Amino acid sequence: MKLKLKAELWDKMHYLFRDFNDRMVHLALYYDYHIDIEKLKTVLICFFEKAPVLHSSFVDTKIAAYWEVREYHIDDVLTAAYPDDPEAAVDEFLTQYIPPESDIQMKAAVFYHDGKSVLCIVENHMCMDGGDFKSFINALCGAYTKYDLEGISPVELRTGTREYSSVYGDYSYTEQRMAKNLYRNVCAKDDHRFPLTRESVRDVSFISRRTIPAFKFDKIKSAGKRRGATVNDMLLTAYFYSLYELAGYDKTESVTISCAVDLRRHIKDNSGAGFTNQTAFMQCAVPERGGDIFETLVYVTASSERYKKDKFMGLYGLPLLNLGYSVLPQAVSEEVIKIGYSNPLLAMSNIGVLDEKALALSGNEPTGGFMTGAVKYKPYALLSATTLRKQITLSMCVRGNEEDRGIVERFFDLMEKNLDVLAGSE
Amino acid sequence: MARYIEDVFKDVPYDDVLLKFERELIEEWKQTRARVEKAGLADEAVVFDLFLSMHPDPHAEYAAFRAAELKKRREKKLHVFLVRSTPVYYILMAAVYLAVSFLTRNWRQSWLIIIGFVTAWVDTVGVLLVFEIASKRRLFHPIARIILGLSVMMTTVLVYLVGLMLFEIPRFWVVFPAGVFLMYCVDAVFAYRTGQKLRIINYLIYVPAAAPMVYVVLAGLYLIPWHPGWLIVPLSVVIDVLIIVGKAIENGKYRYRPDGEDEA
Repeated sequence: MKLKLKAELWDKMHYLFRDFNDRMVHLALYYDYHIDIEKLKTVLICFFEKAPVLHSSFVDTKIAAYWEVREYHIDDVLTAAYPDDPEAAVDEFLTQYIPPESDIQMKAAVFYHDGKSVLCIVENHMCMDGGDFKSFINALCGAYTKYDLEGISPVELRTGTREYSSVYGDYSYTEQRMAKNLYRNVCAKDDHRFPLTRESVRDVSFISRRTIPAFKFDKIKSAGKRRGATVNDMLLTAYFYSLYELAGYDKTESVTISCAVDLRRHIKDNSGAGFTNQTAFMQCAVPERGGDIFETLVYVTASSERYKKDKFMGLYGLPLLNLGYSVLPQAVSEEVIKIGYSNPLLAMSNIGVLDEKALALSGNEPTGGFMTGAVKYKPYALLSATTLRKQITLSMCVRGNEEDRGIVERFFDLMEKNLDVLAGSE
Repeated sequence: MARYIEDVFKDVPYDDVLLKFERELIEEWKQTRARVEKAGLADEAVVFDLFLSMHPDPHAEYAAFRAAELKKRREKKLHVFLVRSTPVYYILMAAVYLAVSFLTRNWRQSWLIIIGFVTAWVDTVGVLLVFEIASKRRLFHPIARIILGLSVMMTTVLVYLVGLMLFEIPRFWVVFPAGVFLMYCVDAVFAYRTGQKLRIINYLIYVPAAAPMVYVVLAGLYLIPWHPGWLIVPLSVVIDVLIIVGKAIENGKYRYRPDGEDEA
């Protein structure tokens, strides 16, 4: 008898997002070290056993949806190659798409070049979000190191519930009732879009990225601190301002960007939970561009402060989604949710810091790397940001053409310029 | 693995439940090993550790297994008892029916014994089925609700026949609308006990649907006059409104206002 796993709320929601993005989460880590592929295979098999959703196929019967655990071979998961152009190989690998019906939901590759290695992983967002993907990769690197250096079996991976309702677990009865009463549609209602070209059948997926040098990180951070803003606020402000410049929005227009919120902030101890999605969006809006970027920063800080004061930040709309999925058959619930749901045209996901110490393989810390969200289909756009060794990597995954690539590069130029202004370099 | 398992449970009293648990563990171990080896894992020590990590607390697992197994066995015993006792029960029914009929020569009423026995059997099996189905997925719950409705109506028919044939109670037809009323009540209790989502909608439908039954029963028994007793029906709409208001007030207690005006 085939083993079935429950499809959780967020699994189904990300499945519904198939019209807006390819649902892949991407990671690349660069090492001045030769990764032992056989040892990495052992670690991955153990982790796949502990998180069976990674070797499961998503089944949608229209009445219900669930995961069906499938057999696999590690060679289908992990590949090794010696490309002449490692960057091209990384790009090609990362822009692949894993269908949810596939037997495996995560693929990895190691590219060797000049005694160095690049570890690339692509996984289905339906299985876990960026927050848990970071935990997963930290555990993977830690287990690899212990296995390689000490011979300790790589079996330490947290397991447990994947339910969305874990976010309510640490609340009192009254707070739970309050949070579960937040039946509110929190979708973005802003028509401003990233100025990409029209969709075409010739479009292909690509990942554009720009790394902000490490020496600028402290400047951005301290400049933000002086103005009561976080690094996230600074990035978001640069995003807003660059968009006004790039897309030519009227400076009196109000613009909204949806920002990813890690709902694990509501969970005190996540050690008993399985790998899953716990991410929602908050709508950060500026009423106008403002006279200069510092005025935009004031608007952004005020907007994010308003959210931070809210003790149920990000929990709005969850009861409504849960109701939709639990009382209606899968196909009907999707149609009903689609009526009320509008995917944000502009979004940002600050995945945060990638801890180089936790990501070390046998004592070799990564020299660079990034994690980024799904490839968005036009007109939707998502800016992802990760920080490793104080280097902020901005990335945008787009299904587009060369012109779109140029537009995104221009956007990154503006982002860099505006971050410099914010940090006081200009 | 067998040696390891024996060692872990060496202090646990040995019986067939423990043996079954150990056998299941061994079987799972074999399957896990075959699966991971097929996936490409060759390191035997890692396979062993991996399996152990999947069972971090074997004693707690065994305690849960034991409780579930003993419950399963009790249920099985009950099922076997039902299957075995059914022919005996029906033979007993035939014996009682024939004995009473021959002794009293009251063939006109003694057939009620058959109806009574059959109804009692159907209700017993029905209730057991309802308990079993209620513990399964919600998809199957409508079956349990149909069984409950049928049981209530069968009992209603029995009560009516007994009242009519044995006691000749006047206006005893009121048990039928009373049965329908009871059916709504039982279904509402089922929805509540199984935590059905949006059960408030069921209640809001049942109240006005049950009101005409209450009206007919009370008026039929001359407990209230037919006029203005009919006001019970529009009154049910008022009750619905009160339920909605009550629910809104209750939810209002848990309404959260982000600006700090939250109340608990």
